[in-house]
Parts: sequence; C-alpha cells; structure tokens
Amino acid sequence: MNQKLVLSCVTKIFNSEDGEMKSLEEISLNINQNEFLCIIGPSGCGKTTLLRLIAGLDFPSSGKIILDGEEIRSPSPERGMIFQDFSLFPWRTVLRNVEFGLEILGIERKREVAEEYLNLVGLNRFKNRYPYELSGGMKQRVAIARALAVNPAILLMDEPFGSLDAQTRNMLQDEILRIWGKTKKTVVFVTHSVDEALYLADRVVVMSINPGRIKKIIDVNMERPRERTDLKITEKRNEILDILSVELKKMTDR
Amino acid sequence: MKMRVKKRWLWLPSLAIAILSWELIAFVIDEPGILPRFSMVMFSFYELGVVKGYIIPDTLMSLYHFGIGLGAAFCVAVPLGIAMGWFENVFRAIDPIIEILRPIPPLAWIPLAIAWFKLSSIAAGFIIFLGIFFPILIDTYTGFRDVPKVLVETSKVLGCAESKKQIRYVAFPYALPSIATGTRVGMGVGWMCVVAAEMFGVSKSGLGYRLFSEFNYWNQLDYIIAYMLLLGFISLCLDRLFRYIVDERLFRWKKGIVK
Ligand SMILES: Nc1ncnc2c1ncn2[C@@H]1O[C@H](COP(=O)(O)OP(=O)(O)O)[C@@H](O)[C@H]1O
Ligand SMILES: [Mg+2]
Repeated sequence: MNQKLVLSCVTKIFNSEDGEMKSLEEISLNINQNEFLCIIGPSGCGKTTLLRLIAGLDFPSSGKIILDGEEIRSPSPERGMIFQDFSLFPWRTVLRNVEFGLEILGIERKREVAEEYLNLVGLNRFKNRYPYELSGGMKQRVAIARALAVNPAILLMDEPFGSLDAQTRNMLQDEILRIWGKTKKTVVFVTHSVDEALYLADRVVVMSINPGRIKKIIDVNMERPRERTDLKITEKRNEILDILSVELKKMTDR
Repeated sequence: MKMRVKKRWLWLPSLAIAILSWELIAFVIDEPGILPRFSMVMFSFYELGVVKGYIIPDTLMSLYHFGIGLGAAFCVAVPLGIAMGWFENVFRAIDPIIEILRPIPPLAWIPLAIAWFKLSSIAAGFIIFLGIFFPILIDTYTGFRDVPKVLVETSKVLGCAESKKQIRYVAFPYALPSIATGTRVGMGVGWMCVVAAEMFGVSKSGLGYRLFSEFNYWNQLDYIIAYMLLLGFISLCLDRLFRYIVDERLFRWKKGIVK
C-alpha cells in the first residue's frame, strides 16, 4: 500500500491571551491510500485541530503534512471536510448545497452530479427542502453528499455522527462504509465512540490528553461488515478503553 | 379559517373608534384652531388635492428627494458595510468615525447641506441620505460579522479560495436579510427627514415645503393635519411596497434561525 498522507512531527501551538496553548505534540503518522482511519481521544486533545491542519484551514507550528509528496499549504476541494456541527448553507436548498462545490469549480453538469450524490445518500426526495426542514441525520448526509460531489481524494470527518441518536448513527455508519467501499476514498474519521471506531476503521489512532500525542495505533484488520459484539472487537475495545481511562485519570489528577 | 379572517380585520373597528372619538371630541371642543374635526380634514384632502392640485406634485417632489437620499445611501452604505464587516482592520479604522457621526441628528446638518449643495434637491436628498445611511450601514456590517466561521471554512474547503468568492457565495447571501432589514428601517427614518429636508425651501413644492412654508398654523390646522396623515400614509405605502418587492419567500430559510 502506498502512503497517501504523511504527517511528520506535527506540533501545533496556539497563542492565546493567557499564554501559549500546545494543542498537538509531535504527531507522526502515515495514512495509506484507501485507508479508513479513525482517531479517538479525550475531548480537548486536539482531534479537531489535527483535521483542520490536514484540511489546510490552519498550519502546523512545526513539522510537515505531506499529501502525495507535496506539502499542504491551503484548503482544497481534494480534501473534503465534514464538520462537527452541521455546516449546510441555510439559504440553499438541499440540492443547491450539494451543487455548491461544483458551482465554484465551474462544472457544467452540476445538477446531474449533485443528484447522483443525493441518490447515493438516499436524499433525492428531499432535494428542494431547506436545511431547517431536515433532521440532524439528514443534514449530515447532505454534508457528506456535498463533500463527495467534488470528488475529493481524502474525506476528513470530525465527529460527524456525534450529535445523532443511536439508531441514526448506526445507519449512517453502514452508509459511510458503503460509500467508502464504492468510492474508495481515504477517510480520516474522528470520533469519541470506541464502538464506532472499531466498527468502521482499518486502524484506530488513540490519542493522549492535551497536549495531544499518539498513544497507540491499533490494527483492526477484520472483514466488513463486522459484528458489533464480535469477541475480537470486545478485546480491542477493552484495550482502547484501558488506555483512555489511564489518560482520563491523568486529567482528573492534574 | 373564520378566526383568521377576523384577526386580519381587527384594525378596522379600532380605526373606526379612533376616528369617531376624534370627530366627537373636536365637535365638543368646537375650536378648529385647536383640533379640527375629522370630516373637515377629509374635506381638506379634496380641497388640496382636487381644487388646488397640490397633493400630487408635492408627493412626487418629496418622493424625488427621498429617492435621491435612498439611492445614494444604499450605494454607499452597502459596499462600506461589506468592507467593515469582512475586514476587521477596516472596521477598526472606520467605526470610531461612524460612531461620532451617527448620533448627530440629520437636522443639524441642514446648514452644511445648504452651504455645500445650495438650495437644491441634492441638499434635501443629502439630509434624507443621512437618515437612511446609518441603519443600512450598521445592519450590513452586523450581518457580515455574524457569518458563522464554519460556513466560510466550508466554502474554503469546497474551493472558495479568495475573499471575493467567500463574500459572494457565503457572506453576502447570509447577510442579505440583515441588509434588507437595515434598508427597511432606514427608509422609515429617511422618510421622517423629508419634512425637515424640505422646510428650508429647496423647491417650490414638496410635502414638507407645503406643510411648513405655506400653511399657517393659526387657521389652517386642517390642512396641516391632512398633510401629516398623508406623510404617514405614504410611508406606510413605501413600507408595503418594499415588503412586496423584497419578497419574504426570499428569506424563507431564515425560519430555521429566527423562527
Ligand atoms: N483557535 C484556537 N485558539 C486557541 N486554542 C485553540 C484553538 N483551537 C483549539 N484550541 C485548543 O486546542 C485544544 C484542542 O482542541 P480541539 O482540537 O478542538 O480538541 P478536540 O477536537 O479533540 O476536542 C483545546 O484545548 C482548545 O482549547
Ligand atoms: Mg473536536
């Protein structure tokens, strides 16, 4: 497998009013082409920061992020991002939201392409609705369709299902796996749910509390679709939970 | 359904009561120099409009002055508001000046208006401009400053690399309802400036000119009240017209935010 995305010694320090805030410390990570990588860690450990760096919305204080041999310097449609909070354009209908990136890129068949991706997430029926008329799960599906429509090589997802109910969440997990299998993207998926990470990922990156470092990378290496209650999953779940509880204990001890 | 029809016409009985009490009180006082009767005022409309032929030219002249003020205010306030709302440094540089100028009543500018523009329609337009300008400016930059960061970042990830595209595709549509509100409020304030703008004689017609320079207040109160009502009525029409043109369907999406 070839390395798609290489992070070497990435550190991010924010300068705020009350001094420096180290958000990420020396993150080194190779992400393979077509890999589904999950990142898990206590809240505030820098997961969002990491995705924003990969997206090019922010820059490392030191270290490098290299995509296909080139350093990332700015945002680009080749790296799609699904934000934690719903980020649909409220004045655009579902269809026009999905068309957004295509419109900016000046693609002529934007309507056709958008409808194709709306079909992929099963929302063509709702194409003329406004975001306020959608449920949380539907909104996130629109956001996914919108990100996919410009055909990015990498999909960055920041706790995309975090605020959804369990059923919708499970359904969307299957859906994202199906889409991933079909479109063969490289996915970096941030989550705070161990079960979600183990259900989805090829590898799970477990992070420490702030400042965020990589504690351990766990290979899941199992066929999909997976059984959520599989013994091997339970084993790995306990392993991750152990690491996380040690980390959380550090936080309360501070 | 029946309920809705009733609600819709609720203003009718209260209006009727207001008019009747006016008529009655004026009848009891019996002093047109203090309060002319409603029926007298209605008759003045006929006199002023049909016999003397004042109302239509006066209204047109006032709308002309108002149009100058509105057009100029919109053309200056919207671009300036966009620049102030989008570029933090422009805001920092200009906001103090705005905040000093803003509380000055448009009326206080009259001497300057005459000095700069002489007794011309431009001078009147300038006073009205001052009334309309600030509400549009403030609502424009507020709308722009309120644009959620995540929407701008979404647009960046989807290919809006430059400010120009981010403004055009994200900030402007997001701020549009706010700009419309500012314009509507500004139009109301600007119309209130019409009388002041015309009272120093920039033209030989106009609602404000007639009200102040031609009618006298010891024996023509009925004319004066007729013109006051006319001012109110035209403002109401302008507001309705604005709401008709800036269709609320355009801002249907706002429902999710404001409700
Ligand atoms: N723009 C910023 N300025 C200052 N500090 C920030 C900024 N963004 C994030 N941080 C800090 O960096 C740390 C990591 O934040 P974040 O990446 O959002 O964590 P997570 O997504 O894992 O919950 C937090 O302590 C947060 O306060
Ligand atoms: Mg986060």
